[in-house]
Amino acid sequence: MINAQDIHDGINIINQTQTEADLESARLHWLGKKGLLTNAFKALGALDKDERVEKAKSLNEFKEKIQAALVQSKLRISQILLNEKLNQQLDMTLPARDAIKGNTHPISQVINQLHRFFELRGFTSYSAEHNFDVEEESNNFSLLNIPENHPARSMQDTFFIGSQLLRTHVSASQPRILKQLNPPIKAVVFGRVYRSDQPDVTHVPVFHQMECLYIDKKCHFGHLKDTIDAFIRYLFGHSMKTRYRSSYFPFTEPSVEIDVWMPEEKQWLEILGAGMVHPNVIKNCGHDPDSFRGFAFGVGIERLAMLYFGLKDVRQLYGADVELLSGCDLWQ
Amino acid sequence: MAIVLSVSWLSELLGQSIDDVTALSERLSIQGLETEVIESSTANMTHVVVGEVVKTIQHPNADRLRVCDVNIGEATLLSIVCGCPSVTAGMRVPVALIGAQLPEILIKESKLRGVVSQGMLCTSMELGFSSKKQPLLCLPNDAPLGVSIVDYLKLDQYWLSIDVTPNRGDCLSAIGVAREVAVILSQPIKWTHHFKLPLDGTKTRLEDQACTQYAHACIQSVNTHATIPYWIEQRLFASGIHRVNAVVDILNYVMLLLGQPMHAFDLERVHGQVYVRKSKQGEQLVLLNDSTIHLNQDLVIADDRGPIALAGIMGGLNSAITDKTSSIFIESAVFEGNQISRSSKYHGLQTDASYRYERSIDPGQVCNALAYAVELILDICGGKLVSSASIDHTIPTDVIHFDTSLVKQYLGYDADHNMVCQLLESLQFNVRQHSENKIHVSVPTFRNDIKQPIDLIEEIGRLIGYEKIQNVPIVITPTHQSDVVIHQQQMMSRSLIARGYQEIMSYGLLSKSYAQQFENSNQLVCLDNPLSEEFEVLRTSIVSSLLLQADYCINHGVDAVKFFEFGKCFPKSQVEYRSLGLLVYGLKDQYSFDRRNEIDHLDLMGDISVTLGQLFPNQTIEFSQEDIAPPQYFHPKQCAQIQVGGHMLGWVGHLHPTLSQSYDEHLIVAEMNVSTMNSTDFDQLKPQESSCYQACIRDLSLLVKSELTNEKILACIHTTNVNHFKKAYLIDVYQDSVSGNMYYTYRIVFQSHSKTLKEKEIVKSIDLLIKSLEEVGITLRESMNDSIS
Repeated sequence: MINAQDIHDGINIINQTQTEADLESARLHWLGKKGLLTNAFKALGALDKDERVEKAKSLNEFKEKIQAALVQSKLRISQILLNEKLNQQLDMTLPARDAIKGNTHPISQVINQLHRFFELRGFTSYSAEHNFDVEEESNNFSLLNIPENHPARSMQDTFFIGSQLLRTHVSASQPRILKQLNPPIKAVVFGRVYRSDQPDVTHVPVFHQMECLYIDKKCHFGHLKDTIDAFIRYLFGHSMKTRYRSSYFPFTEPSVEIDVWMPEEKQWLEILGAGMVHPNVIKNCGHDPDSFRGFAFGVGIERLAMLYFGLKDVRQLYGADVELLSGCDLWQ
Repeated sequence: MAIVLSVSWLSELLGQSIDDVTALSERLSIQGLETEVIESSTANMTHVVVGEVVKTIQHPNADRLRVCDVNIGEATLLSIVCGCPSVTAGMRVPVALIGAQLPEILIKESKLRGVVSQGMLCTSMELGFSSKKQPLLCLPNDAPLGVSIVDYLKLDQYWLSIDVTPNRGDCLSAIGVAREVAVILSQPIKWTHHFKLPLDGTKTRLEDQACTQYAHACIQSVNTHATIPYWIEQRLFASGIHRVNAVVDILNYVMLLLGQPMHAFDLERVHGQVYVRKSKQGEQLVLLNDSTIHLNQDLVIADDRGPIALAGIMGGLNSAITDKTSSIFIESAVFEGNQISRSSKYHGLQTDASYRYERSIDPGQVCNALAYAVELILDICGGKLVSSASIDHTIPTDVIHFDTSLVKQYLGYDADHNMVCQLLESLQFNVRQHSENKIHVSVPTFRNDIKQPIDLIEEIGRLIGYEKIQNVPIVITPTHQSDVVIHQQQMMSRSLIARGYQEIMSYGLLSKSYAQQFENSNQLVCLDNPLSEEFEVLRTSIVSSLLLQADYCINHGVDAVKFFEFGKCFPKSQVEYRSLGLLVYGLKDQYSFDRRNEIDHLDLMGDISVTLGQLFPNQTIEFSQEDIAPPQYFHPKQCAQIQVGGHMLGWVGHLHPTLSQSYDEHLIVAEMNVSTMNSTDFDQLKPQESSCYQACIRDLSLLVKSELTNEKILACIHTTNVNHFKKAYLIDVYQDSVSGNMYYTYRIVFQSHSKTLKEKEIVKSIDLLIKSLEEVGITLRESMNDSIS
């Protein structure tokens, strides 16, 4: 007959099982169809009543103990298995697959920033209309108050294509917009401009500009200043100091150049030209200069990008140095 | 052009010393004359003093050297060896002592042919303010011995280099800049001169309106070899004007002072009457620089024999001053800027004179400048004024009617009426009160850039200082219309960079020979005046730019590249349009340690599909090889048309072998016309609900004969009207190694929205599909007729 010592030994064996299979065979050994306890219960029928009651009671106690041990070991073994899994280490530091990210060009990044700034302020950006690289002489020069033989024409060496030319400034879009739209006008134009300069550290024959044009009834120089200061600070942070220097452009008057203070170099750096739209331009394009005034400015995108990313050679922006270009990634 | 002026000259003109040069330069810059303070050539000179040559003796060992005893006001005399033949006892000269730092040299005690020299006697060239070899700089006899030459000659520490904008021709002169400084210092100009010309001679004949004033003076017995005073020399040197001879130097000096270009002719080589006229057909002129020009409707100065000078630009050689000249004819005139500009450009000649005429000179200064020049010449070169004459049309004074309240409207600065009047008067404008707020402003002759009220507003603005104007925000209004081009570019960029592409930018100007590989030469837009052969034509394809960039990468050992560029293309027969180009080569993932697959066209097409899919949601993006005529830079049999919703957008494929043969890399490119991308062109597809009934799958393996493509097979499947057909897609491509036959296996999916399909129905559909495939010659793989599973 099964006695308490057998049960005690059995529980010991159960407690030492290491796998689910060992545990299962231990269960079958006691509680399976032909298990010791199952058989012992079966054998109870042959006993007389008193003895049966007494034996049954102790058998039930044995069964409960065995069952409890089985449950406990099941938990114990599943913990062992879990620990085994948890110990399986992978080298998660192997290089990720296809993980190379590209980058938008620094010039595009600046354009995107400016575009966002001016769009939020209600300026309409014209890329598809009023925006041509190959331009009429009139839009690039004469309508902008730069007559033939004017010395200002030689400020910008122009590429010609028959009777047309490659625009030397995005201001060439001003006449196109002014001729077609009625004030109030709030426009920005992004595009390429061309000047006959051999590429060197500070020059490239092709570069990008943004032109901003604002025409309304009551517009004055204070509006110009606020708009320019705001966009410069939007790009470069609120501590950026600006300086307005009187200058000359035939299509604006008063004209100014705007410098920003470079704290490290301890000097002013010119970054854009601006002014109130010249009454002659407004008149040339079919509006009444006594009723409408406005401001305009043009800014070189390369200059801003170089300033922002600390680039020293403008030609780098037109090269294929991927390491450098992908490093210009401050705004992504 | 920058004009360089010495600070001491400006203080002399103003009659006031200028202490804070940096502050002045900053204020001038803000006021519109961009000024930089530079160190003068004599800035770092030390230990040079006034000395007197007491005695000179012949050097014992050298014929050309003399040994001089020099008194520098100290107890002992210095013994200095000098090579200058002009050295004589009694003259006072600059003496560089031992340890003196001259611009070019440091003076040390040395032996010259055995004789010790305790310093050096200096010429103006050695002191750093002359570009021309000169005799010793002879100082006045009252020059105090031992005094520093820097202090005695008032040599400059600093010069101002001033960038003059094209409207301010008046500031291409010391007097013009001094006027601007005067406003800053609130100090009137002190400089005057009192010499007057008798104007008694024969007047020049003006035959063209492009010359509005012409004055001249004739001087006889002039010594053109005279030594000009050091202060003239110094000022010419600072501004970079080359020395010629005493007369020309003086004329240049007066030009620098007053802005009036002048020219001197050799009077004996001028024949008869002097005319100002347009050149005649066929006339030629040999210029001072020895070049011969063919005159073309140019304004010339002529005598009875023909042209003797290209007016306002350059004199002729035949009438120029020579070593032998003793009589001169000096011209001081006003020529119209447009005329001079035209001739200057036509002949490719730019001179100090033409530069000033193009920017307009002060017509009120013509006779003054001539008189001052004559005064200096008589003083320095001697000679006798024999005649002078002037044709001066009365110079009209511009009067501008000005409403002072406009200032506030334009500047947003509350400048009251009196302030406006005062500021204008400080600039020597004459202001007359007309009525309340209305004034009449007379413009001085030197400010011919001031023509209308807005010009006056600018003058007031720059004097007030734009920093004083308050910022005022504009009213923010919503944008009516967003920029589709930028929006689309941003979306495509985002998708491409996420898939590993780098955006790059190129000039878009190419050499003609290179561009011809991408487009017929008659379609190329050529520049009339290219910078160089490298930048002759505008690109017609972004791929042409990308290939140049890839070439750079390949040559620099970059083994994988994924590039894209947005930009314009300019074929001659079309309006310029925006295009997106892509170029890839090398490993798909160059940093992978276990999958070293080379990128191929299918990778690129996947990237394009996803990118376009973001832009055109719910549109089919397809690549077609049917009936296509690709751009010439694609391999004709290895490229496909990119189609969105059935619209052609561009091309993708391998480069034409003639372009790619020099590379080991497989270059795959694509180009799309993004100007035509407009989502409104497409019908928006509606989303479809999925079916809850089971889908049934059958695979078909087809023999692919040459010329047959996936596109053709799918087209046949899709056009066959089969019941319950849902979709078909390629799942395997297999080439039999024995027969070489190519097989494509397609998975055909059937599904109904209303019921579970029965085997019978599917068999019927598949049979129909096979039949219609066979009708166009597409057959099942022979051994797999039973492949219907």
